[in-house]
Amino acid sequence: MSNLELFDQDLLDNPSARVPVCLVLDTSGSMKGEPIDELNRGVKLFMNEVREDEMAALSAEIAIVTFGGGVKQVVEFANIENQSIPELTATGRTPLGEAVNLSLDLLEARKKTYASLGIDYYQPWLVLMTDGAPTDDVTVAARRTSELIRNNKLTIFPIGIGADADMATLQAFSPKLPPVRLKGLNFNEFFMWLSQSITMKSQSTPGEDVKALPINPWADLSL
Amino acid sequence: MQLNELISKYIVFVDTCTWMYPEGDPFLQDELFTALSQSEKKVRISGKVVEEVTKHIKSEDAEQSAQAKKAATLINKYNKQGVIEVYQDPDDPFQDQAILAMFMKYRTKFNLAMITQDRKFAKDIDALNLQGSVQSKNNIIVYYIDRYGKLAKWDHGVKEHEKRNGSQSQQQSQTPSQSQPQSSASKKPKDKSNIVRLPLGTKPETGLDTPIAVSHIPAAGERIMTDQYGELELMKELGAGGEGSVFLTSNGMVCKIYAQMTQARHEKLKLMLQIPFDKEGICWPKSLAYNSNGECIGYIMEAASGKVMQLSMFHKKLLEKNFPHWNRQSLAELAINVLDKIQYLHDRNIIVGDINPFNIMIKDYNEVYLVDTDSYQIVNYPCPVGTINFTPPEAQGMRYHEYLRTFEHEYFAVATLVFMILMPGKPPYAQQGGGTPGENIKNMEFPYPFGEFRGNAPDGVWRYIWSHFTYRIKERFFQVFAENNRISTEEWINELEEYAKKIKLGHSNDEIWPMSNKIADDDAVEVTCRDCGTAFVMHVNKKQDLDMKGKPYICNPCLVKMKVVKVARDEAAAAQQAANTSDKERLAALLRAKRTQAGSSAAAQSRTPAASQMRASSSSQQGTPRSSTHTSPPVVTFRPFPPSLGQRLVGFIKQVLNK
Repeated sequence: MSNLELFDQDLLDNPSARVPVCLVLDTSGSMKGEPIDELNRGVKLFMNEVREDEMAALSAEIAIVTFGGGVKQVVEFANIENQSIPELTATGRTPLGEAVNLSLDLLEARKKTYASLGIDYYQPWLVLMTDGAPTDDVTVAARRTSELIRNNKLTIFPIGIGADADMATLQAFSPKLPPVRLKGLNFNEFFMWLSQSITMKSQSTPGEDVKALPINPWADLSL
Repeated sequence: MQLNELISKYIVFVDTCTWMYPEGDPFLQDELFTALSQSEKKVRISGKVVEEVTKHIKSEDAEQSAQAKKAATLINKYNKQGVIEVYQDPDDPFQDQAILAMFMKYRTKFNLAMITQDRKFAKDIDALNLQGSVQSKNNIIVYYIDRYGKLAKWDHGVKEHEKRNGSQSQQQSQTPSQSQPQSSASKKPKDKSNIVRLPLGTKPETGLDTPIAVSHIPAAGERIMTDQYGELELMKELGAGGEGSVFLTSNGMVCKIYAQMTQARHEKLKLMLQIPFDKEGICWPKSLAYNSNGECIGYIMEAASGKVMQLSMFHKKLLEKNFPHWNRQSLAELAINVLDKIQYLHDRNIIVGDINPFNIMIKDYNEVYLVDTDSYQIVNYPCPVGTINFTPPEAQGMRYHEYLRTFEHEYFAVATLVFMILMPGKPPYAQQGGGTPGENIKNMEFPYPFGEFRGNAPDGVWRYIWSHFTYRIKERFFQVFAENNRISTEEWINELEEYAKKIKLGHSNDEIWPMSNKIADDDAVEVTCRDCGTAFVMHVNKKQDLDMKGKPYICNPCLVKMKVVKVARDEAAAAQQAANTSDKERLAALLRAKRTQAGSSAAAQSRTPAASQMRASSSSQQGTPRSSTHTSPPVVTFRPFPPSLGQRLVGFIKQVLNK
């Protein structure tokens, strides 16, 4: 288990509003080789960008869940200062549904923590990336995200990696926005954009619907 | 001056009250009418005069109605004779406005005269002769008709016979500007009689967004021309946004260059430049700026200094890093200084419109700057942007460029700003678990306790800060945010000065982040924390209670630490359980949640007066968010924060798209 004391301190000292972000990343066998290398680089860039930005560093809380063979939480919610960059490896099948379910539960638990301590938070972000099709049943998970999104309690970024990504499945999770297919392995650009969106969110006050800005371009996207 | 000379050299206006003045007949019916007919000159009135006279005819006051009828008859007579002109140009942006704006607009071109019975109006117009950066002679004369039916001249609100009798009119100060030292917000009652108050707008200017084509938009390193400061070089770009870019220029001032010049922008800037303006700390346009082809591309203003409020003091750690010497008194002083600038604008009937912490720069608590002044609401030019947290309940959902803000609207934003300064970064309305912020504002869900209202703000630093406010400050916040009864900028300044004084005298807590609720001196008893050993103050009742139960004394920081540990443990347990939950169980939970969702929100609702009233009048179903009271669908447009990032964000997305 991670060092509880360190995490607690930030919840204690820092009353800033939080942006909880959960990355749900495909680390199945098909990601072996260049894809997983690029993904690792992207995640590293993302976490560094957040750490470097004054405001984002105070607000963003990142958790990472991977699905490849099994489902694993590789990074827990905490202040970025206290987190280390994970090293992801690719193996196994694609239990996407289970991963999303776990992520939603983790986000709920974190929100409860904020609520108990009187810490403001923005509605969470879930970034879902996959390069193929799920090998488990995604129905319940998709229903949960759809429900949350419809009630404005979740923002989801569904990303398909490469030509084999199952966009239809990704669409099932996201009633408001169409999924985006990454061209090639341009993780860096996406994560750069994500970190900047977080910065924008950190610079606003909870309640400013900043998401209407970054999301709009997405609405114009076509596959 | 003889009447004939007047009507041939001056453009003469006659105000409604003069048309309706009972003793005006000898002059209006005979003297003026004859003089105009013989010399084939005309007298002018604005369309507003026609409106007012028409309105008064329908008045229930018999005398007023009679006077109005007489005025109408007179005006018709003038019209038949061809000696009157109603001034109302449909394309002109000033059509609906009072004479004051027109006088300001035309005084450089013509000699102007006004005949009015209204003392205050006369003073305002006369004051135009004194004020302004506009170089023009004293070419505005104001007259009235005395009780003998004779034309007489006003002298800054003083009638001729009053001067002869030695009774001086008040405040004859000749100083044109109201220059304020940055740190002053003194309690001396300010002399505001010489301030040129702009007319309040009547309907928002729309449809003037016709773009003006510009052959070249200058960039850093290039030169621009200005009216007031000659040729300047754009030294370096300070920032870029959706509207355009801002540059530091070679004379130390700042130039804003629009990405798209429009007629509305141009007209508004010209109006702003005509308004006499001299206030340190407000970055008002000082000159138009032109490219090398003489096309107007933006304006010049004084440079601001310091850091953006939103980005420098709304996180505890940032506040401590940027302004380590501040305490609570500094926060009060900061609020006073910002409001002092806003008051300057309000005195002139200029409404900021989009008061928000991105438009305020802080060098220190006694040196602040208001920026983005070109978005202010001036006469009929609306402020086209807004911020949800600063928008009052009645305006939530309306499009900002489609309506003119009133001072009522503005005072809500002012109060919100004061709140967010004294509670650094915390907006007044509840954020968690409830509706969207717009909804919370509409429902007036103010969570802090006052009087009988216990409030549902969670235990924590914000509640502690609230508890340490003086009674007055709490009362005022509650009045505005829970009872929807707003106070003016000036009243806030008074309250804040009182608050600052109390802190200075040691009567109120000077900590920005108190660690516990306030305890009255009589109830306070000192104890020692079992865990960390520090001495702290506890309520005597609580101590007795703990003593009875044999429990230890634990200070708040230690209590919170314990709570955080427990909460983290709960979270870890929940995560563990999540990993072990099956899909079937999840589905069941999902369905259960949906069924109970409808009934759950009732418990969490606030019982503040305004909130209850809002709910009583709401016709929405239980549990669903309250629908907008406006007929148009709730679409709120607002400026991206910050503009430069927004541009880059869009750019990135486009890049991703196009690769």
